[in-house]
Amino acid sequence: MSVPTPALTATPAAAAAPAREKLAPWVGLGIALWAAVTWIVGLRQGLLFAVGIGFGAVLAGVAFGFTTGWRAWIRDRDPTGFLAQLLAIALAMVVSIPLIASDSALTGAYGPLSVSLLLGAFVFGAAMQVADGCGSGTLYKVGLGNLFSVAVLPGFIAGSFLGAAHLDRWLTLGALPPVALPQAIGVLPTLLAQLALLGLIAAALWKFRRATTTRWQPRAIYAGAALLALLGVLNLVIAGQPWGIVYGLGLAGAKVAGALGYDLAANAFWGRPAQLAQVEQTLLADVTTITNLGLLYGAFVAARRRGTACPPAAATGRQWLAAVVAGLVLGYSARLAFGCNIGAFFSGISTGSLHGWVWFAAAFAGSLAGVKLRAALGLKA
Amino acid sequence: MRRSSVYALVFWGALVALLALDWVSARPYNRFAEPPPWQLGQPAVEGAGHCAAPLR
Repeated sequence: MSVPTPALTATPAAAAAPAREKLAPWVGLGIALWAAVTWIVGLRQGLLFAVGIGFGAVLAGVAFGFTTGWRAWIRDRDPTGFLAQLLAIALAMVVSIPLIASDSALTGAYGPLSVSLLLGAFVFGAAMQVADGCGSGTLYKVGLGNLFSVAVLPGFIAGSFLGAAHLDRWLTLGALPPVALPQAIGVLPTLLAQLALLGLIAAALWKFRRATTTRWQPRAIYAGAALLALLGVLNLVIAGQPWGIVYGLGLAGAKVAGALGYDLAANAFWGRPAQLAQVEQTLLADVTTITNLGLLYGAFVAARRRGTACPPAAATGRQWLAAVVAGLVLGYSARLAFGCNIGAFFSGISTGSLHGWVWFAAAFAGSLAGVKLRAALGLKA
Repeated sequence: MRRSSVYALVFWGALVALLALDWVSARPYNRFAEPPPWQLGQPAVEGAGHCAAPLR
């Protein structure tokens, strides 16, 4: 007689309710910040700031981590977090791809198929396990006051700037043009093919699960996935491009480098007219930076609400050094790979970019190595 | 107040200070030349880029 495998249930730790703070003051401050952003740089930026707050609130509110989702499956065969990611991508995709096909002013996250994509995504996948956060994960943990992620962020900014600055040289290793699947094979075939592939991966994750408990509240994280998909579509509708993280970090790095005397005009990437114009403008005018700032605040508020803000930091000197180095590697490799978990994985696949799939395969392979590296460094599971 | 809370406070203070410094050193922003509130259904607005975009 076969014994049915029970559904995954939340661990007692995940189900426990920590001390919570009142939300009203932080929501009030959020509304004031939204009004200030809208007054200073316009309604589009204000709306994107609000979308960013939503991203941060959802990510921190349900502990939606791309990095942890992969690691939980690699280590414990717990598919919950990973399945939620696939759900978010599938839901965003069924709206985003038809929208982009119907409006030429909207664009997807279409990156080239380059050697740098393979190398960058593999290295990013490994480094994000050491840093315990990808682009969105690092930002939301910075927002909630995780000092380890705060140590990752400066390197991430510097690496994003340098990766973009060196990108032209990496592309000489070989690159094919971007492939937008909806343009190559049609909208409906792309949707059907990608849904089938996401479904196959989800089925494999479920079939090979081992864990019977999970660190997440399953209903909450699947609801979070649906909300992230909705916010991703809103980002596309408002900004005209899908959700991204790393460009904004690199832009901040370019501002710092320019202030320190680096000749941006002489660089192959930052010296382009569109980039120089963006560097001269306030960071608040950049569509990626403004969602990043909103994300930080949204995560801060959600963590206050959950009682998970400012967790105590306990790391050795070697681990702090690993955080700084991993940040630099994350930023650099994300630019070589044309995006992080958000720009390439979530936004790439959900807008039908072939590079998103290549990124996924290479980054997951990198994460297999990264989980071992994390253990070797003595970082918590 | 925990030490990590103090560091978080320092982070937010530094972030606000850097944004203010950026605002005063950046080219003056033309508040009245802003694009439409959303891109869908509007003429294309040239942006600087996305992390997935090829060199441009």
